[in-house]
Amino acid sequence: MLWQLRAGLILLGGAFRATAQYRANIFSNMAAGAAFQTVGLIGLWVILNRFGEVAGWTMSDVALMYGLRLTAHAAWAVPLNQLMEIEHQVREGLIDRYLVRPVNPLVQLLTGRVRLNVFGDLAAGLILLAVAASRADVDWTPARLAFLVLAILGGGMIEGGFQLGLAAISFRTLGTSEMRFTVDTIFNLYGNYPAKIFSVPGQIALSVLPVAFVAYLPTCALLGRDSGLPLPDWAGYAAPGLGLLIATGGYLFWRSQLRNYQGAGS
Amino acid sequence: MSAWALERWSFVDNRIRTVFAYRVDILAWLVGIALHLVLMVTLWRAVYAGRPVVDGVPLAVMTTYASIAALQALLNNDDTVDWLTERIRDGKVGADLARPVGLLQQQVCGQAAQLVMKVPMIVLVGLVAMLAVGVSAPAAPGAFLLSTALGWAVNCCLGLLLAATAFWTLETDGTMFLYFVLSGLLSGALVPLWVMPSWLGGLLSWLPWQAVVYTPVSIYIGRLSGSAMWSAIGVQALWAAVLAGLVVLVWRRAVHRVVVQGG
Repeated sequence: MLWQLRAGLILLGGAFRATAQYRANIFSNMAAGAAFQTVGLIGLWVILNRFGEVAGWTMSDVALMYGLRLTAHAAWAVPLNQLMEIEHQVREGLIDRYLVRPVNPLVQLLTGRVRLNVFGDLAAGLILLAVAASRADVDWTPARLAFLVLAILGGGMIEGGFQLGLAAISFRTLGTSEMRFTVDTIFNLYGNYPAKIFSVPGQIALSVLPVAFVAYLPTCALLGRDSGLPLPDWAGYAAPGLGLLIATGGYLFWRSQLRNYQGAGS
Repeated sequence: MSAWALERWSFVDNRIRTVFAYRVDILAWLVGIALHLVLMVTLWRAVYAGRPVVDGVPLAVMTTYASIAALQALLNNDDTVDWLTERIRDGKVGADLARPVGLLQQQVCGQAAQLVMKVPMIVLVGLVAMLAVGVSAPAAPGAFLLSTALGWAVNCCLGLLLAATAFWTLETDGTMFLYFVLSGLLSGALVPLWVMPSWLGGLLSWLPWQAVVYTPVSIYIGRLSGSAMWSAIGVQALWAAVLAGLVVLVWRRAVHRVVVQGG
């Protein structure tokens, strides 16, 4: 395990040096990552600036939720962004190399290249979260801060676990980018707004998928709000446990699907 | 068909086939648009919170705006920049330049091909939205179509200007993404200009992006009518003409920058 980690770090160092060759692109990619996530918040700010609140949520409440969700998104996108290369690597037979080397194939895939726009996401998320947390109506006890960190990791594992599981289907079907893109779109679109605004079927869908667990329910727990969803109260604290479960499930599924890899015959 | 038209049609036809080769992509894209549409309508309903009219705009008109704006954004999202960047990066642009039809005209053909592809899909999604969300019919159908066409032309010119930067930088991924995201806000696709604080709305009304989405959709819902509507259409036509002139100027210079790498 430790050896896997050390090998991963060495590979990652190489990938960093490769990316650093294109300096001008580094900045524009990071800015793009940050802007993508911020423009949605600006839109929401424009609306709330005019209307005051949505479903009882003011700008400072929404900002806390948005910051939590952005940071959770970055928490999976930073380590797992190379999953988007999976189709290409399966089709071209590049996974062959990973299988004959001693390091875990997933570690090799993830450390193949560094995509800098996800660090823009991370920076935007952390800055927004810090500003929103200081302005939100929350008494930040050590227990609440600890929960915030666990909720971010849990939310990241919920989304990341899904992405890993979906990526693993590529070993059989050669292509899953549309599925992953759609799932990411759902989390991106629906994860950033209070789930309360939807009708009951929508609320159930967001609880089952489980988009609401990533940011909405933890934020309700921090703010001491009733979520308005047909879920028990402890659901607000479920993100870390659920994340661990989904991430483990995603990884086990990945392992099982890796056996179906067939190479490209080259 | 004349020889001139036939030459250009072959480009359009070719690009239609390219797009069709990625059917699942199109499906995922449509699902994305539908999800976005449902979200925006739900959000506006929640924001109105039982108030029938805000800023003189009834809820039903606002949800219509959100739905039509989502469809307009779909119409105006095309892959010219990605296409050209890739051709420049891997040197295929060399072959493109040797063709009897100019490179700029080839791009315009590509944009037309995407339009041909997208219109039936948009009509389909639009009809579903009309039934599911309760979108009302356009206030002035003829003027709306004219304004949509002008908005599309303005967007094409903006896309071609952005694409031309690839001749200098060879790399447009970051810029392209940034542009795509920002234009959602600048064009009024995300939030209509009248909801914005007056300084922001006023600023955006001087930029070309509002001509792409905000003007046609405002005509659709009847917020722009009579002489105000025709002057807004005039502004669109002006932007289209100015930007088209700029495109021709920039592209004339850009083509001289081509360096075919390897190949």
